Amino acid sequence: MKLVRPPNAVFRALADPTRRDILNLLRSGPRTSGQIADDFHSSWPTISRHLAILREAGLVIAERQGQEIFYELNTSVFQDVIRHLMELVKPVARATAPKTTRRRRPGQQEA
Amino acid sequence: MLVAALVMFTLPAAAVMIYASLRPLWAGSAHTDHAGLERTYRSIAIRAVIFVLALQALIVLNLSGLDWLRPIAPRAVVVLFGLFIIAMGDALPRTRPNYFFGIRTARTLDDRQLWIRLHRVAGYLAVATGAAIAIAGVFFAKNVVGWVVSTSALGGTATLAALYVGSLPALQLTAEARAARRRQIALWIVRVLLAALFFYLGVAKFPGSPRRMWVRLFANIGLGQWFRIFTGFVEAGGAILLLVPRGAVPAAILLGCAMVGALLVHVFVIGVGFPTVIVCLLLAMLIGVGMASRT
Repeated sequence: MKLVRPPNAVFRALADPTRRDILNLLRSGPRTSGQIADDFHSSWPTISRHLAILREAGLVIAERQGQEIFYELNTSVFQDVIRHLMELVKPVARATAPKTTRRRRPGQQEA
Repeated sequence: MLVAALVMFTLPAAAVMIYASLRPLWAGSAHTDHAGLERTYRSIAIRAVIFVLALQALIVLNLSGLDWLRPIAPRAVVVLFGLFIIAMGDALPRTRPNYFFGIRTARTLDDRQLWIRLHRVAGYLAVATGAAIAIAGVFFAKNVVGWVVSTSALGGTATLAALYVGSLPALQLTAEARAARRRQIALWIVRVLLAALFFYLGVAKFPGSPRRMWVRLFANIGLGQWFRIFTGFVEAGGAILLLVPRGAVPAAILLGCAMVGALLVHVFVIGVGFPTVIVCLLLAMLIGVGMASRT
């Protein structure tokens, strides 16, 4: 067991808006990945990948109850504060962000 | 000799005891089978040990007669204590029902969700309390420090106790309902503050002695002194309207018009200066309250 997690993993996990939304959703109680996916437009595999990153960073923990795995919020107070700050700043994560369909702005011309 | 021995060994012994008493949380498999949880409990124990050892280092250095340390040592103890409370509070939301660390009652040990929600609130309260203590330790006079430490510790504990005893109504709301309620409370605080301010500004315009600032100011405007009384009524009336539940939007419009007028007076009659900033600030706050109260 490693004593300290690389802090970078936490920041990288928090840098994605969908992952921050997942954490926000989990504030109201534990959910399965299926229940989380229902609340988002993304597909289940995408959410599953987000959850794996959050779990890797220690921001959620997975709790098995019978057949299902429930994800529980596991952020510390400071990680919560960082999440709130990132919500204000909205940084863009390039390396770990899953691809989303890019929407063209109405005025933009096709090159 | 005996005293020196006690000083040297009491706190390290305490550190060892803290570590040993929390060790089952990550060493024993009875309570948890999560790598994440074990890491949390271990970091809590390590933070506690660091605090005790830092205290020890401070005492030893102080006894060994460092001149620069002597005057700031009491403050350093307070700051260390504040940081310790912050470090513990930070980790509280990550704990889960266990017999070693946290708010352990029959109810919280029984109900995992209750434990999680209570400890999230407790963590926030503890971090706020610790921050108040640490800041007081750095900046405030000695007698104030004692006051801040006791008040913030009591306040935090009392809030938590009230939440727990009150069957945790606030903790059982959904995240959306809690956010909406926080927003409402913030909005009402701003409304009451603005109402008090505008009521004062309005009433202050009524006395008609020629030496008064408002009388001279309205003489400069040149519309006559009736305009002063009229403005006073608009401001005091708008203030009262701000306190009526559905009156925020009309009050914001009314007082906003008064502030736009005040702004024009500043630009064309008095001259732009520091008071103009306050007028702009009030106008911005009124617009904000009006926009936030629309729904």
